[in-house]
Amino acid sequence: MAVLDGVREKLSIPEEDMTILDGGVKQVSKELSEDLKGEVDLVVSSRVHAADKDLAPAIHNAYTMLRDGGVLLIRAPISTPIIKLLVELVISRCTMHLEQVLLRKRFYSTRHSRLTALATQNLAAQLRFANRLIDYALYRLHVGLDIMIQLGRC
Amino acid sequence: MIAQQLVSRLEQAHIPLPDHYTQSALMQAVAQPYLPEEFPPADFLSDLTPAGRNMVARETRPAIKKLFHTDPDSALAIGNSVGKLCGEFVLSGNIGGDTTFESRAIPGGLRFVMAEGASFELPIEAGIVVDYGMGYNGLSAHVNPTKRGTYMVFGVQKD
Repeated sequence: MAVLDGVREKLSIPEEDMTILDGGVKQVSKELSEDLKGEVDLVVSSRVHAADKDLAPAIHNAYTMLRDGGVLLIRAPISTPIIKLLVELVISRCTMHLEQVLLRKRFYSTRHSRLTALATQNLAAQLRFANRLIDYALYRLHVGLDIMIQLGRC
Repeated sequence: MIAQQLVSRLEQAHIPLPDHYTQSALMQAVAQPYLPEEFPPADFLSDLTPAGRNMVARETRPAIKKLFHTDPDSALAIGNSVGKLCGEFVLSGNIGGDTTFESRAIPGGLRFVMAEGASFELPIEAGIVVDYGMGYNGLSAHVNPTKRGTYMVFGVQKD
């Protein structure tokens, strides 16, 4: 958290625009889901294959946070069984109508290989790539994303 | 200046550093113990000599990890300094983009964007984003939108 706070300070981003919270995804997402119930536009959940037991409550809390039409973006290696589990988890826990669920298998292997390569070899390119992913998510583009779920009305 | 401040803090905490390093190598060498998933192993620090990489792997990073327990305040101060250096890197690499913006108004209306040969209708309506496990990459990705006032973000750290 100290490092990210330092980055945020250097980039002159006010704390009210970027709040960095520690305490674990499970606990903090529960608190956020109470404070921001139905107000959040986008929940980004990356590297969920490493989330372990926090995964189910975190996704459940994401649904509570999201507004009607909000987007849940889940990223994980699509070649592993986690994706299948995720889909089941997402659908079984969702109490809202799913407007869109998109799996982009076709693009993933290329993008994933590229991202892995960049992660170890070229930090600047890796950051640019991550930047683009978030932009895509915001604009509801579905390139290089694993599962993107948009919620409709209850 | 930020790099000098970081080096000074490292020296005060008796953290060993290679004899020769670039600013980028310094940043990655020191930041990795704080954000291990986002910075590469020492073997990938191509700016360093083999001896330098060896030193980072065997001495610099273990000493920082030890500092987490022996002197948490000092570890926090070093973390904050290396974070500022990371921020400088983001700015100098034009990652995260503009450092100035004129309006904080959330843009309204619809746009159309082409992607993968298809046209998407895009309502710009984001206001709050929650990012589970936000790290350096995630933070960098949020710089432009937060500066444009497109949304505010809650970055949730892992345990």
